[in-house]
Amino acid sequence: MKEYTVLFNKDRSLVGILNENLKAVVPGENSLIGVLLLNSGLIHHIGPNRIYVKIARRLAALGFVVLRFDLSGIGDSGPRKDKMPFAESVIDEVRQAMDYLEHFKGIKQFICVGVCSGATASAQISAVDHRAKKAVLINPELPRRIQIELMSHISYHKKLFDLRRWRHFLFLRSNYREIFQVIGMMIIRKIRPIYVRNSQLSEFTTETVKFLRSLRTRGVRLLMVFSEDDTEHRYFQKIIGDEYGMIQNDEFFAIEKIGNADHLFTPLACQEELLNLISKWVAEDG
Amino acid sequence: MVLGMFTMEDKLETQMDNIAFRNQTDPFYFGESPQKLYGCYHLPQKLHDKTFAIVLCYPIGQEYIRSHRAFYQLAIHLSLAGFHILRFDYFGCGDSEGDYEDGSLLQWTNDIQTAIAEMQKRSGLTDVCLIGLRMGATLALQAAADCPHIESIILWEPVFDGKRYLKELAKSQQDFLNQMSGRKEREIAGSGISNEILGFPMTPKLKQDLEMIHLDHLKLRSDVGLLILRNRKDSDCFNVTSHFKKSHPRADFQVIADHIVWTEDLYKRLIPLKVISYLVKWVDRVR
Repeated sequence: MKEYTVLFNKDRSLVGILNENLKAVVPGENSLIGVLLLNSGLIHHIGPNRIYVKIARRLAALGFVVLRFDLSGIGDSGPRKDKMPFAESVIDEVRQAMDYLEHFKGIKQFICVGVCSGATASAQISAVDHRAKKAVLINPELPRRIQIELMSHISYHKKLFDLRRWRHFLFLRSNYREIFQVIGMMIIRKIRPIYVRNSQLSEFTTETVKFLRSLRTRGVRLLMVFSEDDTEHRYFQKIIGDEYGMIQNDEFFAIEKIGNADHLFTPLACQEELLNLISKWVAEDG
Repeated sequence: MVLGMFTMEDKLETQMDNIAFRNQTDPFYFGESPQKLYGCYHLPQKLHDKTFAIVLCYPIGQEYIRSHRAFYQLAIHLSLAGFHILRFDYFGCGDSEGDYEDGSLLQWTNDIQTAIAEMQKRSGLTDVCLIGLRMGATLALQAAADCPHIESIILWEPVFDGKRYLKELAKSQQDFLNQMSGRKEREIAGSGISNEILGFPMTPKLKQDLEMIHLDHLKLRSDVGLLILRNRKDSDCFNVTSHFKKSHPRADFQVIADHIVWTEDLYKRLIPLKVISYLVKWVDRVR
């Protein structure tokens, strides 16, 4: 196993770590597939709880060439010189990572993997670059405005009658920030016209379903992994609605849930489960 | 403080990013396989007239991830002041080889020695200043005890009492579990939680090592510059100060109320600007 640093981009300001299994280069087909691990928020290229290091080493052992790198302004990478908006610079920089591996390793097919905003970026690049063949979206992040709308749509009645939650609340062990956010949203809902929020949501649902169908048309395979109790999973179900079942049964898409996991897969047992899931799915049919 | 659409922190951070833009970082691996360490070397950004280089020592576990951004900014500001800077990951941490559970306090202390040797080689300077945060400070102090080339050492919110540190870690783990929604306490109890702290394994060996930490036993050469920097005043702060006042007359003590970055989520984008600014001035002025 070889693990070394790479600098790329025009001014060599993007920093990454490349993992490759030298023993697997000649015989394996996997060595012709690159895996890109994309930043989860502001967490640098080791990923939340160092999970990207574990994923990179596990996949490199299977023969893949794995690059985990920092987008500009994150981790060890320098900021951009131009004023390109973040949404565009993410695509540009992931493409530059692909160009780098294509140029130096002859790799023309990629699997993009990311947690939270890294998952969203993985989905976006899969929609615009023909080299992206698969993507692993781990708790993909929805746009903030949609999250806020959804918070008020998700039912909190069940929680309201949960004795354990009341005990947590009374003994100062609740997430009060979330509670206040929900109460705030409820108040905002009361004073906002219903058609505004409903039209925003239905518009986003249409966009999301269209987006997923476009990926399918392009032949991109998706693995979506959700922490079972994480809000992103509930939001996703709410957004997709009736299409959720269809996606579950589609050969191009796989949805997996991991129990007792938080948004960033902090418990070690969940990390292990995630690693097994990803390596199994990624290795399937190359 | 809010300035129009931006907070003061946003403004300062933009300034810092503009500064960072000019910075040159050289990431590389050093040491012997299978224990190679990942480091980032920051070249001095102005005419180099310094007589010593600086090695930054991160905290461990989740605290490492949360303080990474602050260390990056600290390294940039020190390099702008003309210093050679090396920040590096201990064995089994960050990008370095190995798994976290295979690390130990002895291993990580030795890693600091390896990093010092690497820095001497790269910078051409013999003397080194160590700056450590939390457990990084404690490890730096241990490494300094055996190293003849330490010019000065900065202990930023150091861990002086291992048992107390373990209690703090256990509490943070419990707080995390309490915040996990929809999780049954019975399931938590059965999932081996005591063997992990916020996403990182806590092996019996590491636990035992940590319990043994008590910096009262550690001695530092009297000619080594020493700064102890705390973010809060408490009883521990008083004990530590009085201990080092007796054993190290040259020691400086400073309490600066600033962001406790190692406990905060990264999405808050907090940078301890007051601390960074003070540290840069201290190393530049005193030396």
